[in-house]
Amino acid sequence: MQILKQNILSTSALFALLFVTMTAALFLVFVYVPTEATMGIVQRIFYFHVPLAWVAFIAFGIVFLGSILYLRSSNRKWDRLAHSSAEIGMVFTTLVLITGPIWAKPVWGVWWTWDARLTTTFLLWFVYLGYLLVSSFASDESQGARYSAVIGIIGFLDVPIVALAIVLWSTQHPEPVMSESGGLTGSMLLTLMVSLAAFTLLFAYLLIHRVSLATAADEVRRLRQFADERDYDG
Amino acid sequence: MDNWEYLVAAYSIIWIAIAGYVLSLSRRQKRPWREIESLKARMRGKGED
Repeated sequence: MQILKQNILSTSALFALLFVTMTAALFLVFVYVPTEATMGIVQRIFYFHVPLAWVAFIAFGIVFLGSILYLRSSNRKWDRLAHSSAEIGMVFTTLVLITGPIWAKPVWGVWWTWDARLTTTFLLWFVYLGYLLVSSFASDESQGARYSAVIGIIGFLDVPIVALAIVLWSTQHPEPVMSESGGLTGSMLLTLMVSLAAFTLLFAYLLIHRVSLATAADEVRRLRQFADERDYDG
Repeated sequence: MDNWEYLVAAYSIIWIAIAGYVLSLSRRQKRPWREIESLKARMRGKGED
């Protein structure tokens, strides 16, 4: 209980910062930034679509590191961190897969095409779905954590493939925004940067709460086991 | 190009999904508290707190 209370207090400042940054991002997206000449109003989806993908990559990077540390140490805290990050990464990847087609329909004329970026992102979603299912359905908790850690390490290989897909293969997906031909004006770049900051803060906020939830659940399980052993039921 | 409906759909889905996830986290956070209370009650029943 004390852990949860401390967490609520320590995340208040983060929440305030998140609120300010997210409000600024929404202002920039809907009021400040000019409408892109070719794609029109629908291009504004980009300012949240890219940060969603960015956060998913950070989340899966944390899964990768947490999985390595768990396999090395068998310390449950690394599994809790990796599992929490994978769950949030899945939420954000799902949103990437939904907002991408909503942008693509008016611009490309189709909801979906099996080009390299889209296909590898779709694959990424299935990899981490597998990660979450393995840890949820394993009969033995530590065995499930070990198996999912292996998926968390191997599955991360797909992240650089997704990131580099538009460079490695000829795709319909727009070019990297930071490249010379990516062509973002100053105001567009500022809007994107503020959105990236806002979503990174959102991720940090969600991760702190998710890890705290996992820690509390583990603690309760340990206490229940202790109570069962001491036969408190009589 | 005027495609407001796509823009509204995309941003609505993002915020509904994030709100749904936050709500699910807050619901799940109540569960350990309830279990701790029930464990306390069990221990009190045996004369230990």
